[in-house]
Order: sequence, then structure tokens, then C-alpha cells
Amino acid sequence: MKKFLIFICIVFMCTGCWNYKELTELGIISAMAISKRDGNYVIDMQIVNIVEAGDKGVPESPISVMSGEGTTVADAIRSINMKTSKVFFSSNMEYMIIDKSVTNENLKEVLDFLARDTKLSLNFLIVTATNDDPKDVLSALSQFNLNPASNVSELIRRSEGRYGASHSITFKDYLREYLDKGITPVYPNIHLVGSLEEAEDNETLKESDTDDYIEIYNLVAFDKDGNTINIGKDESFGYNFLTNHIKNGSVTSSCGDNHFTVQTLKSKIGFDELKGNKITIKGEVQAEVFFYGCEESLSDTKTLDKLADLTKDTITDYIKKTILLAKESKTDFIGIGNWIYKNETDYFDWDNKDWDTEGLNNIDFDYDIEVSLLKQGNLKGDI
Amino acid sequence: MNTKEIIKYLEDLKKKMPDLIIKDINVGVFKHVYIITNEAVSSGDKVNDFILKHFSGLSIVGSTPLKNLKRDVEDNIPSINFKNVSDRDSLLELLFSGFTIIIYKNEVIAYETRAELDRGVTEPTGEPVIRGPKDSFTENYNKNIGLIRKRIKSEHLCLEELTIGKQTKNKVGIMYMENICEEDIVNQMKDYLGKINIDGVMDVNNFKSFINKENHTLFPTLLYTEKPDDTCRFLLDGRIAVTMENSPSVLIAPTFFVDFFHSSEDYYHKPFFSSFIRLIRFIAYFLAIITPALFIAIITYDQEVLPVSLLINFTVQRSQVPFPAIVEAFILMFTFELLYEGDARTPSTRGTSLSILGALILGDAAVQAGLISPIMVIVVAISAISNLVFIYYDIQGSIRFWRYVLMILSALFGMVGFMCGFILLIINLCTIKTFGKPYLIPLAPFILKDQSNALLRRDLTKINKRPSYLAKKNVVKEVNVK
Repeated sequence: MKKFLIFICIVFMCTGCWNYKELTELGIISAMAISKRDGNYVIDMQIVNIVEAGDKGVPESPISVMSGEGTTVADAIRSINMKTSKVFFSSNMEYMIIDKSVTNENLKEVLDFLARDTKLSLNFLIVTATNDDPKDVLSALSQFNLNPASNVSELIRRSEGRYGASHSITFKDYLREYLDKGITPVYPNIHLVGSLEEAEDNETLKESDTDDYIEIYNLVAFDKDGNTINIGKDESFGYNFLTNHIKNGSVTSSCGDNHFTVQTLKSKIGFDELKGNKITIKGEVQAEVFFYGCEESLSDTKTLDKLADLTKDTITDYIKKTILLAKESKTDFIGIGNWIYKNETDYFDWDNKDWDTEGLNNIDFDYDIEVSLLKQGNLKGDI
Repeated sequence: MNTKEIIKYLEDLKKKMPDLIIKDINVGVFKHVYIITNEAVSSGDKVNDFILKHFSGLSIVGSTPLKNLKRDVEDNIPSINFKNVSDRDSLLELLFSGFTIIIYKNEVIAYETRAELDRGVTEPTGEPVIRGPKDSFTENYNKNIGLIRKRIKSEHLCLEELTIGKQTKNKVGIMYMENICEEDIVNQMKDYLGKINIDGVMDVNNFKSFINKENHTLFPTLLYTEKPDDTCRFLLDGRIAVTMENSPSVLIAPTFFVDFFHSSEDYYHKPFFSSFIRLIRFIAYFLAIITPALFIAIITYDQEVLPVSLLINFTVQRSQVPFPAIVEAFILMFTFELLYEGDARTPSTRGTSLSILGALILGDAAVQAGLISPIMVIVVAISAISNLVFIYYDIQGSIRFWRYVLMILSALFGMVGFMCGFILLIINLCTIKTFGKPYLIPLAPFILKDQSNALLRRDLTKINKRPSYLAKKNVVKEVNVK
């Protein structure tokens, strides 16, 4: 018993309160940006300000943005410690901006740092901001959420499934795509609309008509040298159809001079088999009519078949455009190579050749996509 | 026994005991009947009506001389409770139990003239009920046994009596159903009680220190109830009820962990509702123990598990508090314990002021003063309210103890400490044996057929067997519903 008590005392003295931190000491990092300027890494952090709700006096900004510089990423983060008394708490980080300047060979160092930090969750989103200074994007406030970082991450996640022209990628997936053979990660590109002065001003939030906010601009990928590949709207649709990221996306096609839109209910498209140099893209899309501006009567079953064919053409067209962009930019952001690597490894000499430059352009595609329109859409009951 | 010696002894005793009455009645030449009674415990009316009236009538002249006291008393005084007294100790015991002692020519007889010194049968105060019988045990031994007997009108309901307490000499009764209860358990109980050798026992609750002592635990292994219907339910399961004079509660043994989550009221509701309530009690039990500890562990070590909005919220609330979370929690817990104890000992007429003061101090002023944060008030309140769900007071001791253990471990080691503490709790629960049976039965070891009335309750027609871990004979209850 005596030994046991001594043991307990020693355990308490040696290990007690290890890692103890009070809530009030924490500087909650909601978003972060990594860039490189003049050979130094620059870290920008968006830290949540703990403001007493309903506190009297001047309303404070819900966030603070702090920057640090250093020869390595770790140095840059440590340098921020000179500017704040808070202990950095990054577990709840919503997203990280990886600037264009670090997407080339520097990315390795950045990812090494991120993967090493055990306290970092693996579920934050990776984004980029090619048109803005990352710090400006971090400084912008949001009217929809006191924590602007939550707003951005929600925005990206929601628009991916609902609209189809965006794409969300978590750090875990990003790391996998970065390390995998035959695939290059795609980033959602966020952009600050309007002026920074207005966007970072708390007063702006009081107005209903705001011109200064963060939006998702498009998708981008970076080639090996860090050059930006802008993935346009059509290509984004194609990318999301191919990677099965669409839940309730809408596809608009033309019927003569008019247009109609269908909303996808279920979409499953993928690479089916590799024969020679040809990959069959096979899939099935189920949809319903969402908007109809054409002249033929919808009650005719043939019309629905026709609309399905037109939609099929549109989707195939999207996919074709996406593949063309990948081939032209010599960057396989779709993951065609990755599919071949996993299913037909022997097709390509992965160890000695570069897929993007030597493999991707040799592949041809066949399309076998079925579109079925399940419903003509719903009318409001009494009409 | 020598009359003169006894009388001399009693007269000496009277000097220190003015409530002792010694009456000398002349029933012939040099023939004295001594009537000795204690006016505090015996009824004056009974003594007057039956004893004094009879002996006063035996005047010196004109009546048949008193020859044999025993026959005379049996022939002339109506009573069913006469006792021959052979030694001084039993004389004194009977005297102080409310008997009147009659002494004539070295012959001593005790005649019961006990006064009603008890309150009547009242509503249970410790275990309030909404549905079901509202009578409760009193301090009167016979009344208590009566309350049980009138519910179980069976020749199998046995009562074994023994006397405990060197000075107090309390009558203790062990009740059980001989056709259901295992003999082993009865023998063990007799063994436990037989070994008790102390000055006095005031209540059956004193037996806690003597029964199941081998377990090092704060979890209650004996159940005390003041409700006769509860007691009968336990007796029919094959358990023992121990009752004692001057004790308004009855000890039930053996009892297991799940029994503390049952209430007699459960059986007066529909099975779905009572299962729901039992589930609530189980959840409340663990909430009462873990809530403060879990909160401390999360906000001081493992903030990662909180969603960011909640984290910001907690941080804002904690920003005004100058103490570490554990100190804050202890301040509030201590205040609550004070209130809780204060409230329990306050007469109901003054209780209101206490609750107003408590609500103000805990709810508002302490938060305003920046001593504690509102979220901590909520956490401690959840824990405290969960604590109050339990009807059996004894289980609260275990809740309080483990709550503090877990709080300290959480404050020192975070989630790891919390988990270790919780594992210790489970280990402790698993090691307890009550009357040779595992305390967690029928949960661990898991007995499927006894689940019909463990965590949840099935319809009464479906619970047609007594708990298999208790009753070995007469296992099937007679339930015939067509």
C-alpha cells in the first residue's frame, strides 16, 4: 500500500497537468495562409477574438489577423508568438490558403510541417486565392457568420453539392492526392470582391447592401512549376461529374433557341476499362426537369427522351472539355493516371516516366453515359 | 428470586429513576403483592384497570386468600401476554419494555401494559410516491411487522427474532419467505447479526457497519426502505427484510446495483413508462458522476473535441473568471453541498429562505461577481439535479465520492485521467460481492432471462419468474392471464 501511494504521488508530480491549458489562454486559429515572399515563408493567421457578448463600448472585430515571417514554416509561426500572448490552438481551423507562391517545389516543406503537427485536425479545407493577397482574404468579415472562416468553409462545402461548379478538398484528401501517382489536387479559388477597407470594417456588416465579400471564383490546379491552370465553369462541372462530387447539381442545355435545366438526383460516372490506349467513361445520371423553356409538350414521353439525350450531350461535352484542359495543361488534375495506376499498373512505367507529360496525352476516351429523366418536375398543387 | 432482595434493589434504583413506580398492596396478614411499573413506558390506564383493580379487590378480609400468583393472575386478569420472570436481567428488560411486574412470595410475573409511544402510520417522507400505497413503517416493531403481514398473508412468511445491543437490548426481526428465500442467505444474515456486540443500535442503518464489510466501496450494498409495499416486493423476490424496534426503516438484503434504480412505483405504471423512467435514472446516475469531470477534462486539456462555436462561447464565459476550471468547479460544488446539507437539516418553514438565497447566490450573484462562469453553473446544476433523481439516499454517497475523484483526475490528467478514473469506478463496481453474489448481477455477469426486470421492465404478466440469482426454489410466479 505504501509503495502504491508513493507511486501515485510520483505519477502526480511527474505527469500532472501536462498539457494543461485554460480556455482563456487559447488563441483559436480559424484560418491560416501560407505564402512565400522574398525567399521567406509568410504565415497569416486569422485568430478569433474573444469578445464578451453585449459588451459595452466600441464593437470589436470578431477576428484578428496576424502575420509572421521566417526561413521555414515553423520559424514563421514561432515569430507570431512575439506578437500575441495567446497559445495557438489550431485544432478547429476551418481552412488554409495555400498561396500560388508555395505550390511549386516548396509545397513539400509546407506539407511536411502540416502533417507533423499532431494537434492539427485533418479535416480543414485547402483553398487558394490566386487573385488576392491571402492576408486580405483572411481579413474580410462576413455578414452571415461572426466567424468568417466558418462562412467560407460552409460556402465551399455547400456549393459543391448544390451547384457543381465548386469543389471542396480536406487536408487529408489533399495530402493523399499530393502523394498519389497520377493525380494533382484541385483547389477552390476564393476571391475578395470589392475593397479590403470595406470588407474588414465591422461597420460594413451593419449595411444590408454590401459589395465587399468573399466568393468562390473558380477551381484551379497548379502544374509542376507552379503555373495556374484555371478550370472554367464547364470544366468544373465536368470535373465534378467525373469525380462524383455532384449531389443536386443543375445542368442547363439548349433546345433550339430556348433552354431547359435539369437537376441531378443521382450521378455516378467513372472510368470503366482500359483497352489499348482507350478508356471508357461509363456512368448513369438520374435527373428531373427543373426549368423548362422549350416548345415541345412535356407530356409527350418522346420529349423526355429527347431532353435526356440533350442533357447527355451537355454532360459529355463538359467532361470532354475537362479532359482537354488536362491534356493541354499537361496536368492530370482529374486523376486519370491515378485510376490507371490502381487498376492497370503495368500500362505505364511509373518509376521512370512522368505521367503528365508522357502518358496523359496518349489516352483516348469513349463515352457511355446514360441520362434518365425520372420526373417532369413538380407543379405547385393548385395550379 | 427473593422478593425482599428484588424490592430492595428496585427501591435503590428508584432513587435514580423517579419514573419507576413500586406499589405495595396488602392482600392478607403479612401478605404483600408488589406491583412495579415504569410510568414512562407503560400505560397507566392498563395498569389501573387490570392489575390494580384486581389486587385492590383482594382485601384482607372476606376473600379467598391469594395462594398462587400465576394461577390467580391467569384466572382473573385478561391478557394474552404474560411472562414468567426468572432472573433480574430479564425483569429489568421487561420493565423497561413497558411490562408491569407483579411480585408475590418470590414469584415474579410480567404483564404487558405497554404504552403507545409511537406516531401513527404516516406517509413516507424519505421516499415520496405519487402512485401506490402511502403508508410507511414507524418506530413500532409490531406495527412494522403488521404492515408486512397484512400484505403477505402467508404461512411461509417467517420471522426470527434476536436481541442486539448490550445496553439497549433491541429486538431485531429477520423476515423472509421460507418457500422462496435461500437458506444460505438467511444463515449469513443471522451470522452477521449474531456477531454484532456493541452497546446499542439505534436504527437498522447501524448494521451497515457490520454487514458486507469486506467490500471496500462506497456503493451501497444494503437497501433501506420505509415502504411496506417495497419490502413485500423484495420478500417475494426471495430477499430478507430486517426490522428492528425503534427503527422506521427496514433493511433489505441482498440488494444489487440495479435495485437502487427500481422503485415500487415502477410497478404501478405501464411498462413503457417505467422502463423510460428507469433509463432516465441510469443516465442521471452517470451524468451526476461524470458531468463536471468531463467538462473539466475537455476545457482544460482536450479542447479539440469542441466545435469552434461552442469553444468560443465557453471561452467568452470563462474570460471573466480568475480561477482555473477545477477551482471554479470546486467552489460551486462546495456551495452546492452546503446548500444541499443545509436544506436537508432545515425545518420546512425556513426552507424557502434558503432556496431563495441559494438560487440567488448560485444563479446570479456569483456569476455577476466573476467568481464562476454561467456554463459551470449549468454543468454543476446538471450533475446536482441528476443526483437528486435517486430515491434511495445511500446511493448519493457513491455519486459524490466518485464525482470528486473523477474531477481531480480530470484536472490533473485530462481525458486520460478521466478514463482511468472511470475504469477504476467500473473495477470497483465489479469487485463488490453482496452475500456472495456479484453486485452487478444481472448486468455483469449478464443474465438474459433476468433482463425482463433489470434496466428496463417488461409487462408484469411477462415477469413470471423470480430473479434467478436470488430464488432457487419456487422460481415461477403464478401469473395466469388469459
